[in-house]
Amino acid sequence: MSTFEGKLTYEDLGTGAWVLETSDGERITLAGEIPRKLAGSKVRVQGRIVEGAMGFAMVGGRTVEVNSISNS
Amino acid sequence: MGRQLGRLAALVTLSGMVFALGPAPVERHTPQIPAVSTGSGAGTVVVDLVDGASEQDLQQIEQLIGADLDWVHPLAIDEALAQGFVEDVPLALSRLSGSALVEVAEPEMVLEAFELPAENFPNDPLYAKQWHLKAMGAPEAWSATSRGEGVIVAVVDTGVSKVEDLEGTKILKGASFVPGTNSSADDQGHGTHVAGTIAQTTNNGKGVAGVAPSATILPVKVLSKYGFGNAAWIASGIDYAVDEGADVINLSLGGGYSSVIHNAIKKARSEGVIVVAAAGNSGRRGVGYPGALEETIGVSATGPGGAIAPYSSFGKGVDIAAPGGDKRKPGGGVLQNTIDGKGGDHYVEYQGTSMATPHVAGAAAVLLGQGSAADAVERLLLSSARGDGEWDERYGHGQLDLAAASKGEARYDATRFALGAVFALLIAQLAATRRRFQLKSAVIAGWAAGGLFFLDSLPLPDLAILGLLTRPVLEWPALLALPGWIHFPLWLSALVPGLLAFTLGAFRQTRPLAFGLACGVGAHLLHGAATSTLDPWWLPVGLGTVWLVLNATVCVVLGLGLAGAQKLEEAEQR
Repeated sequence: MSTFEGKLTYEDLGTGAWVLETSDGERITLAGEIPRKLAGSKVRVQGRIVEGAMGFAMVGGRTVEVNSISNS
Repeated sequence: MGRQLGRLAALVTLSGMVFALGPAPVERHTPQIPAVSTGSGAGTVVVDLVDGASEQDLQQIEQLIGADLDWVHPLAIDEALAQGFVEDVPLALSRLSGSALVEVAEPEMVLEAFELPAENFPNDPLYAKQWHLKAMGAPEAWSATSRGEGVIVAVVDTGVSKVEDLEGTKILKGASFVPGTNSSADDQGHGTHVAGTIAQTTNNGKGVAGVAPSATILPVKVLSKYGFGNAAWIASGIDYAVDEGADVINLSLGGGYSSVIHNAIKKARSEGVIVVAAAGNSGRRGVGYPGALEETIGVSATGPGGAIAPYSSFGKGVDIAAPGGDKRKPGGGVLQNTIDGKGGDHYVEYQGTSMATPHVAGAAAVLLGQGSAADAVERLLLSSARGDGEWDERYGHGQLDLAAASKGEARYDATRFALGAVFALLIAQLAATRRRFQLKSAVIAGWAAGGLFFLDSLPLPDLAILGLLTRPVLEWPALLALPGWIHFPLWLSALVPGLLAFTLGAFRQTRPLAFGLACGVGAHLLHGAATSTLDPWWLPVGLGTVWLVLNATVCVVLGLGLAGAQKLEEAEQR
């Protein structure tokens, strides 16, 4: 389990995609139950990096399966 | 004719009801707003506020025009677009034009959404909002004989659920490769939307339309309910689709390079399966995999105006651009029917290269349904795409144009018709038969080789017999729901002309038919070999062409024999 921090954005792509933009500019696709109200806020995410993940978000970067998410 | 009048009456009645009751229930991310004018000046206005406008700014505008407005994209931070219903559109617009908070304000043009579509097909009430089907030339292609009959399109995605507007669509059982999920049903919404673009039940008086409504969907679940999967699941799903007889595989997904997926796609291609994949949604240069692979048709996305969508990835690997939507414009998404996540379903607009990809997969299904081989369909899709003829990193070979691709197919028909007729005339002339026999045979040979393709443009009733008249004889299996037959080497041979030569060819009255068919089928086999539009299965690479040429030669020999017999009989009569 790893921890990631950054700004959470909701991307209106397909059924919708959650992207975490970290301070070093990486865009991480988040997979899991994420409350809509967190969109646009700074968050801390605990989760697992999915090796070789593919999905319909296709925003580039790694995919993290979210275990917990909260405002940071 | 009576049935057509009945349909027209039903559509007129339906349209009348729509006008009387208000808009059809399109569920979107945004609140429902009455969109049809109910009085002389009432209607919906779209207001583009200055960038960064706040909720307070919106309230100020609401007070100015005395109406409630809603954000078009509630989650977009820098996109300040709002819309709402006002009693007097001109008055509201004049007040808005004086506000420093407003960049542009205009009435929403939705009345055109209720115009009757040409030729009364399709009658789906929300079809008029599917700008994306018109942009890719689907309506023109529907007037041809194929709407994807007998073609299997695998939707390798989050699964497919039988929502209300897939009621009449042929959907196979499929399979899931997501651990812990046994069913190929959709638990996410993405795959069902994609399947809808390909083969939504069309002309059922309900909901929306799809590109290839007669195609069969093979649901393959490889993405979890959170929309991701790994290379092993996806590669297994592709292998499964090939084994189940898929003709086209739709991959509205992507990520980094995977050799496992690459191998699965290579295998699919070697079996003549067309693989269409999304370019990605990074909005940057760099196409994701598998869209970037040589073996896939990589698809970038365009919005309603035809410009590349801001989210679309671009660069090497983009082969074609197709409508994927741009929701910055109201009504600018791709509208299909999918599950709503609450146990029901809804009509909803999505955007993404995920949405562009199935437009291409559907187009491939339509062209395959017309009897062309996979290689020829790929070439036709790219060569007919709208563009300046040069490859471009954003649009690839151009924008998907199914109407032009169908016409390209029509050009093939015309060439074959001419070739068949010339074959018959030359052979009959060589044998010095009478002029009447020559002319009769030439028409039959032209029809057998190219079909009476020109009848397609006439407003004739939708009868099976007309389909058989308009398509070349070798393509009949597709019309008779036996599309696989068109690849059987014995069907793509001189076998049938040979059998007819020894039966119908024995009698004076039926000899022109046997002779014309031998010349026509021979011409078609030769043309197929030259253009790679015929694809006999099970023969090693290269041998397919030899097979076609050899059988075309046998057809010519049969023709010479029949013309000789005719000449002898004519001489005896004298």
